Amino acid sequence: MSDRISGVVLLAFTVWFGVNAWSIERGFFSDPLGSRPFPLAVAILMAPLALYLVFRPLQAPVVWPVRSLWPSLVLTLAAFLLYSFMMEPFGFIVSNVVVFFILSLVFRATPLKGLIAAVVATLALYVLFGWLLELYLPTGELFEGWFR
Amino acid sequence: MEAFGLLLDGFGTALQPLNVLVVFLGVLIGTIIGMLPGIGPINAIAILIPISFALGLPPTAMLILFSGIYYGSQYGNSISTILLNVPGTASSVATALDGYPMARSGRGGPALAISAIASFIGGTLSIFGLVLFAPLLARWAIRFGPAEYFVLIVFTFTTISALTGRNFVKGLAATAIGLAIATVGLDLTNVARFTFGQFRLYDGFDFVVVTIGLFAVSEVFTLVEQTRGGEATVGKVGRVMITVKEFVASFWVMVRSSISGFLVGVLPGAGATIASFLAYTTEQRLVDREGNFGKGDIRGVAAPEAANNASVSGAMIPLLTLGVPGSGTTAVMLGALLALNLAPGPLFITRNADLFWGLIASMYIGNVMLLVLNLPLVGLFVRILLIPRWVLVPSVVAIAYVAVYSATSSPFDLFAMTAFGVLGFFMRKLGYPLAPVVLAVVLGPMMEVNLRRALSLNNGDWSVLIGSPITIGLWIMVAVSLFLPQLLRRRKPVAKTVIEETDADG
Repeated sequence: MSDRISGVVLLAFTVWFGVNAWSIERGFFSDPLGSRPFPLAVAILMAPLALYLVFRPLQAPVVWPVRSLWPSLVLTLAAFLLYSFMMEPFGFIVSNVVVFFILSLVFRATPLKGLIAAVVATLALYVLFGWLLELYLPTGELFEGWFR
Repeated sequence: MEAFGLLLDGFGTALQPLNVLVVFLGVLIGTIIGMLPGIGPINAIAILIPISFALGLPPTAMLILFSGIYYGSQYGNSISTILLNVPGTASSVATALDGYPMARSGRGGPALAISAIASFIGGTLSIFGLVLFAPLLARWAIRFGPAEYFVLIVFTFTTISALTGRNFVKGLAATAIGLAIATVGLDLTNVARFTFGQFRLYDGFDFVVVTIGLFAVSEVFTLVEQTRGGEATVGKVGRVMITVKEFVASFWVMVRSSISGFLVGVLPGAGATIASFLAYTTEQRLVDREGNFGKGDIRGVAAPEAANNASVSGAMIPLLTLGVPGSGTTAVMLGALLALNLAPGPLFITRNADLFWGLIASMYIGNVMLLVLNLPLVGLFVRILLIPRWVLVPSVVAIAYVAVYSATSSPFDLFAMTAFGVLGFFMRKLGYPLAPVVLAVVLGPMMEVNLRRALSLNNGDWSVLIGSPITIGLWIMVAVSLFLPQLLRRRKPVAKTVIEETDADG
């Protein structure tokens, strides 16, 4: 069943991709082939594969995570998204402590241990990346005023 | 003898302080990530690409660093395999067959020792192969035009689709998904495709973002699923040494496995996992008269370890001489070279002689360092296995996100990386291999450019694709790669399990 669903999803993607590929226009300075055929060929390659999976699913057993694990998985995804959202407004230090803490809880740290690890690791990474490697780490738009 | 002089010059390059430092860092990082489950060489290299660009590392140092990680990981992966029965990467699954029984019967020390020694022999012998075959292949590949390159890339795709993952259809689908991702952005005639008016999509998706997302981020989800299990406990390692008798018994096993491993490594899609299983099964047939393989025979550890290390040098050949890598990890290295405006190809070795020979020399130095790290110092490394997951995983995540952000300063890339992570998680679950996606993302643009160039040069006449003996030969190889694995899969259960394990290599 999982295979069949993945085939349907792939088929939907193929149709969407193919329609968009069809609408690609020829460039001003173009070569004999142009910009359209290659993506179109990708769609044409994908279509029979998707159909095969829909009509001849492989019955390979897929072990989905047990229900009790889904909250952890969603929390992990939330942590990743939080990192992306927080990086610019809050800066590296705050976002890293928060995200590190959440992830350490997902991996079964006690809150105290998780917090200590988050703070220590963030400082260590700050020293490594910011000072030793001199990479750009955002201070955070919210805090920039404090240093001016 | 010319090669000897060049190699001496190479040592001159490799012994510069910066290069000694990066080869040491490379093999150290390689050993550690090889040992830790879930972080393969492909992740480590992908994460280090933006960092080394930000640091302005010279190309030679960068290539030495990435290669060090690549072969170093093949040393490290046996440590967790032998002691915990948890293979660090798929290429050490074969090592577990005899390595873990040895450790359980109190012979963990000798198992670790033979694995380091076999890795060293595989690693160093195969460098000779690289020195010998790379210039030969380069001389042959000089006749490659755009049409030949196009067909070669088709061949690479069909082999990797056939050899990785559980199912050929899914392998091809993964390749197609990668090609679809590769078409996003401006093409060679500056036509915007699949950008939907978003300027940030004009450059397309960075292969680093795709790779870290698909492999590292999705791996975190997979590790979350394993949080049920307890923490690892590592027993006492004991003395990491083998007797002369054991060495003599394993010597020819290691030499033979190095040769076969090297040759398998050259093939696209095959890589370290197939090399190690092939060596194991071959040696089982050749030397195991008493039926000891699988019960803790030291030769059963020597064979796969020599082979998986040797395959790494083999895999460097198509990368450096054709510019067409055969695995996810070498594809990521190609991406870095392309970003440096160093397109590998037939003339790469002659034009960048100092880089190539510096790399070769650094591989000898790196292998000696690895022998020291893995024999007397292995006890220290074992402690890394004791770092709790709740420190390790968040650290890896932080390093990955910071590396990407510091290079691009774009939260959009972080979102994209997360999205590819979710995609990767579902692909893993549903049995779609991930390595073909990365390979297609890197090779897709090259494939299209070569096709369009070939047709331009021939005024749009498609017959150019079968216009030379080389293209016809390559099409025959494409046909073989489509049918052979299907036949093997039916015949041999061993081949089947090998193919199923192959993907995690990257």
